[in-house]
Amino acid sequence: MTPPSDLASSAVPAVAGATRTAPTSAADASLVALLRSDGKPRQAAIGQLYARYARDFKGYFRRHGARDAQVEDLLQETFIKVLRSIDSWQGSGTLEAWLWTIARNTLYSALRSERGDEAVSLDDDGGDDESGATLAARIAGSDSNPADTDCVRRGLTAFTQKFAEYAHVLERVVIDDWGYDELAQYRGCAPGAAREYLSQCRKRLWQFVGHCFEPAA
Amino acid sequence: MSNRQDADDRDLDAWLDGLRGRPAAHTEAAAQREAITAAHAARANEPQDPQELQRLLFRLRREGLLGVGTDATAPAARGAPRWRLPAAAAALLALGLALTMVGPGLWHGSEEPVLRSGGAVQVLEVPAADVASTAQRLATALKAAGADVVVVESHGGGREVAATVPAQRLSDAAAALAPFALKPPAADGSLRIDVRPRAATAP
Repeated sequence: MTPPSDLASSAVPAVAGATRTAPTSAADASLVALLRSDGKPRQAAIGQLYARYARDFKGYFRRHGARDAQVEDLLQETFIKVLRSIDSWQGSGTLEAWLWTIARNTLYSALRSERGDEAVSLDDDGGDDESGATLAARIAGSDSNPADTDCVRRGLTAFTQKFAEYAHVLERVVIDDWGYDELAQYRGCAPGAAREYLSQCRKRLWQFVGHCFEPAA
Repeated sequence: MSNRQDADDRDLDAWLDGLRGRPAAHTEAAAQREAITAAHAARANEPQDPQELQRLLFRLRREGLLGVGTDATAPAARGAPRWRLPAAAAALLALGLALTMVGPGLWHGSEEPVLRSGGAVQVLEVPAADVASTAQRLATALKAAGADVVVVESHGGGREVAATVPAQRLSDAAAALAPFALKPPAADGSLRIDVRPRAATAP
């Protein structure tokens, strides 16, 4: 699959076609100002950024198959790109989605470098629907009691293993309150395309957890 | 847009609202939100390497992205080509590369104590003429005790001795430090000693 052009060409893609520009919060504006400063304030801001994002960034890289030895390097590369780009950040969209875009592009670049000319995509909408559906069916069949409160958790675990990028997006929605605009910023697409992406994400997830919501026979 | 499409869109919006914790009568989204939150919370309990931030700062410093409070690291200068950096910044870069060859976890900057994960800095004041030799003796003693050691020239003619001591050699390192009246390394094996020239006393 051909990667999206924004991923291939830029570490920090612009927001494409967003209908709403999310206001930058006062906290984010303050953090950006510190990152753009010098000396101690900048180091303190890096410490804040690390405390807030390092664990999630590393989890993201791991779920996409990065080996332990690669994860820390990817984390460092992400921070390097953030600091090199922070002076040019215009404040459109949210800082959070912008940071995640950099993390995503860093991972993407590493995968491309590792695999040479082989086409690389982080997206989960590839041509292996059948294997995903098969896995989902197996998960559903293995649940002895779909009404079990852990049913959705088990399904989610399998879904995350199979569709890391979809799972990541869902996590951002739940944990960071992302909507269509943040997703569009992250993916470098129009909000309409972000909506379609989320719809596909929901359908995939349903394959893994849908049986949990169906009444027992 | 068809009625069916409208209904699908509304359902997707309701699902999204449910995932985001908005009040929505959407059982599916509520259960999924709970599962995702639980998975995220579980990862929050994974152990973190306390030295990781320090290695990150080391890397950023090596890349010229950490200022030291001089004009050379102002935003405009950060974007300048390396060949235009002042000599002091170039020296800092060279120092960073040298430390890289020794290994991660040894570099401790001179600016921001709150960001350091290693132990507290110990200060050893000696006559100005003895700074270099004292730092060297310290490094030799620590190496003999199994530590990885780096000696860095610091401001004002001082030397910073940064070391990492293997857990099984902590007592050896403590014995090596005793003649200098210095405390043992921290429990994680990190050690920083600032060897400074003693201030001249007024006649």
